[in-house]
Amino acid sequence: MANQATTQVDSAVAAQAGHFKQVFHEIRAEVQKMMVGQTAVIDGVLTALLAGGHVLLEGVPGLGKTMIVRCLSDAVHLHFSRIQFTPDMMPADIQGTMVLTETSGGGHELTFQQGPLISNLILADEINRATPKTQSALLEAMQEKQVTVGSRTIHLEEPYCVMATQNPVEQEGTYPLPEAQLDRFLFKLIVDYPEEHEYADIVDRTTGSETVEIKPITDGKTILELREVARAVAVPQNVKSYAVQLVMATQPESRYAPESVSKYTLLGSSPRGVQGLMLAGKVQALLNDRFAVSTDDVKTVAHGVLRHRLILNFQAQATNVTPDQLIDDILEQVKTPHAVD
Amino acid sequence: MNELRRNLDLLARKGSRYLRRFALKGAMERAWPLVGIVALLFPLGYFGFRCYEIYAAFQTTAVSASFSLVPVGWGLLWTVVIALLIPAAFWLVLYALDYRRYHEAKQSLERAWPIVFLLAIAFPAGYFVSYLFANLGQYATVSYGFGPFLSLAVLLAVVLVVAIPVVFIGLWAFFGFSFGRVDRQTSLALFDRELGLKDRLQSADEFRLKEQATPFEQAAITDAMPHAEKALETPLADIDIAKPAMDTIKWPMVFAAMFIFALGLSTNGLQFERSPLGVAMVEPDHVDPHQSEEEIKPPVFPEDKSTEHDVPEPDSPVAEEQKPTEMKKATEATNSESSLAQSEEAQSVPQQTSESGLSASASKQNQPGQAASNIAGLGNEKQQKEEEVEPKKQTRKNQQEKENKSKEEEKDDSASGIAGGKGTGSGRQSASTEMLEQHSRSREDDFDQDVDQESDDEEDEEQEAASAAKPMLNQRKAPVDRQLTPSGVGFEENEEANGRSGPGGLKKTRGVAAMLLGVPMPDKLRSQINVGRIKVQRERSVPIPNQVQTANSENRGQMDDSVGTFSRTELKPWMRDVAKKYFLDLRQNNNPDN
Repeated sequence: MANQATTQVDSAVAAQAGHFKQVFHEIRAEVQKMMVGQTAVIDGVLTALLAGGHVLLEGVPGLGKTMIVRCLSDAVHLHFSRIQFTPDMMPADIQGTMVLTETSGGGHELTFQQGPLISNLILADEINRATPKTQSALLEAMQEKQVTVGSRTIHLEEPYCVMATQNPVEQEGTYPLPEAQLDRFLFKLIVDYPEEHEYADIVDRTTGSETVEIKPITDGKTILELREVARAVAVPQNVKSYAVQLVMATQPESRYAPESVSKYTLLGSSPRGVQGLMLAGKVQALLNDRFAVSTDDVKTVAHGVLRHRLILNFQAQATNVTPDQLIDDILEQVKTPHAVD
Repeated sequence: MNELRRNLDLLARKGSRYLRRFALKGAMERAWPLVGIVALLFPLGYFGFRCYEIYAAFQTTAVSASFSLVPVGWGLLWTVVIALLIPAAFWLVLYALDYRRYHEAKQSLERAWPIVFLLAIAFPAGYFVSYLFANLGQYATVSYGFGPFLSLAVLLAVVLVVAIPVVFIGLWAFFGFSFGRVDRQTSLALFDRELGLKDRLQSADEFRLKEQATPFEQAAITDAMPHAEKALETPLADIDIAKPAMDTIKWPMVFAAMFIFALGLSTNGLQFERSPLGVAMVEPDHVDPHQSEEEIKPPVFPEDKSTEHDVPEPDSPVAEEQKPTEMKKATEATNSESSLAQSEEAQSVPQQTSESGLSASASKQNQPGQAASNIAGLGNEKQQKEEEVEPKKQTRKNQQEKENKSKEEEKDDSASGIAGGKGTGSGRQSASTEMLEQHSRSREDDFDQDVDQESDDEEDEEQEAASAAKPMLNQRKAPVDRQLTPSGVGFEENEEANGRSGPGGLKKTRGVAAMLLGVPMPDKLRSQINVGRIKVQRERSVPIPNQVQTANSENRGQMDDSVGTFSRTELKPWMRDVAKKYFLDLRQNNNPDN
């Protein structure tokens, strides 16, 4: 009897996990109709969407950062809103404001005109061009999923995902994102140049007469269900310990911190880093047909989760040390629990 | 579930058996820091021991020390050899074990044993050979850095330093392999890693113990079952294990050990010499315990006897003067018999005694009083020799007095150049010339008499220095014409110069300088004299009036341009009211209509 129940539970869980994986791959395939290459970036964006996090895409212009998000919004059939950040943009421009409108009886009244921030999928294009004041308007929306304008608080509809892009090269007229906002992004993904063999496909798809149409694969409700599945994935104790040690190793004063971290890091990851590692690790486990997170899953997502949480000091910038190098060092130094080395 | 549990238990046991063979690696990792610590402890102990020896040597016999680089060189050589040998021995063992197969503990130790054995016998064998060489007569002068520099105990300690880590490793590996337990999770992690199971077995083993497993945990357990069965059938091959993590070695400790050891060995370069006065102290046993503190005198030096008799203090009573002498005689009487033979031995090998601090080592080797009796014995012998040399000394003294008198007659007063001037005040000059003459004379004497004469001369010198009269200031002559020129240009000696403030060629000496050295020294320093402070010259300047052309206001003409606007001060409201009221009243009063 017990075995039968166990088998039923197992089959239900297996079905959920299978559905998760299937949807994930279908969305990826749909996005890849338009996008050539950039598989890691697409996987990262999808992982963040299904884990309930936000993504910061960094890359030089022309690599398709905006297109990835636009294709994704089409594939998941979510309300999409694009905000092009400029230096003169004000918080009211993205949150919304009270405007004087004419009533039907000829009178006037103040009504709330909602901004582009109130949507499901937000593309914050070139987010670092806006002033910190405007950037800070995103903080509440990203963490609490709500927007407060005056005395009015608007709860944002789930799924809610902010995908921001920024250009690492242009520093003139840009404002670096504050640490508080960086910490709210689950992933920071680096969009790199395509491979040589991918250029031909890019040319064919973008300069030909054929129009690529992105079909909606799923909807918001399914996305929320998949998020629940991802959160249910089991985490053994040794993986928790390993994730905690990895995050603590990014903190310069920690006993797990390698020498390079102590030397080049000004600020390490917050506990949000552990949360990010766990959530992203769970998605990875489901994609690898497992029901529990392993240390390898944590290692896989470590770069995307931790790279924007490491604030480097001047010495690191002067010697061209990157956060990825430090994370490599951390992964090498911090041994997994019960490791046989 | 039960099947999984049984399978996991079997896997844990299998993994534990396998992993216990890695005990040797763990032992090496744990022993490696010990190497650095032990390497530091031994030189520290040696250095402390040397410091104690030097302290004891100073306390007992020596008052002055010289430094020789030869033993220091040997010491440095042995330092490098020993300090580098300790980690080198460990590394030799490490590579003998063939680091790819640490788990084969027994075979590895068997392979390492010959090297350890060679290291263990290398030092005693080397010491034995060098000891033979050192005692073969003709090679006796060659020390090879051993002997007083590296004793057998030191070499034994070095061997132990090498042996301790090796023994520690062996014991750890043996007990670890025999009785050690490996964590269950670690055993399962071994299979997870080898079969690429992504922690499936570890997770399942953890979730299995939960009372209420979540659906996903239950699914993870079910997922692990086939993998556990597969793992049981899989033989574990020889796993490549990384080299022992021995980065924790404190290399600075090894270098610190080298430095401290070198410091300790460098003290071998110190050669102690006995005081010319001797330091044989009166032992408190010979003092009457019934004597009061005032009657007990400080230690008496045997050589002071003649000085005290020759130059008696006018204020000291004779009874008090004789007490120390009696005490000293009593001391000599008790010591002379027992120490005579030993003192002769000490005299026969004075260099060895002074180099190695014999008296310190003697006192350490349960021979109390030997060092002191050596010195006392020397004092007795010296007294006997004094009596033999007494007639010779008397005749030579007479000769010196005659020579001094003739010299005084011949010498001009101005040539002396000593602060003491002439007459009885020139005692120091005569003493200095005596010294020179005695030195030149002593070179002509035979070598056997040389030692005795030197000691006698020193005594004479002290007596004369003590009896020398102070320079009498009322007999000094007036200074001659100075004719000082800057930077010594055109320096010509004045023939009449008497050494006082003139260019007499001899630097005038006075005060402390005169007491330090009795040999006149011409001033050889020629340089630009100090320009002194910059002199500020004040001048008075007479003010010169400037020529100005005056112009009359009448000749300036009329101003054509407008004067411009005048700024008016902003009045405050109350001021404006006051002014307004004032002018209104004024107007009203002036108006004839009102």
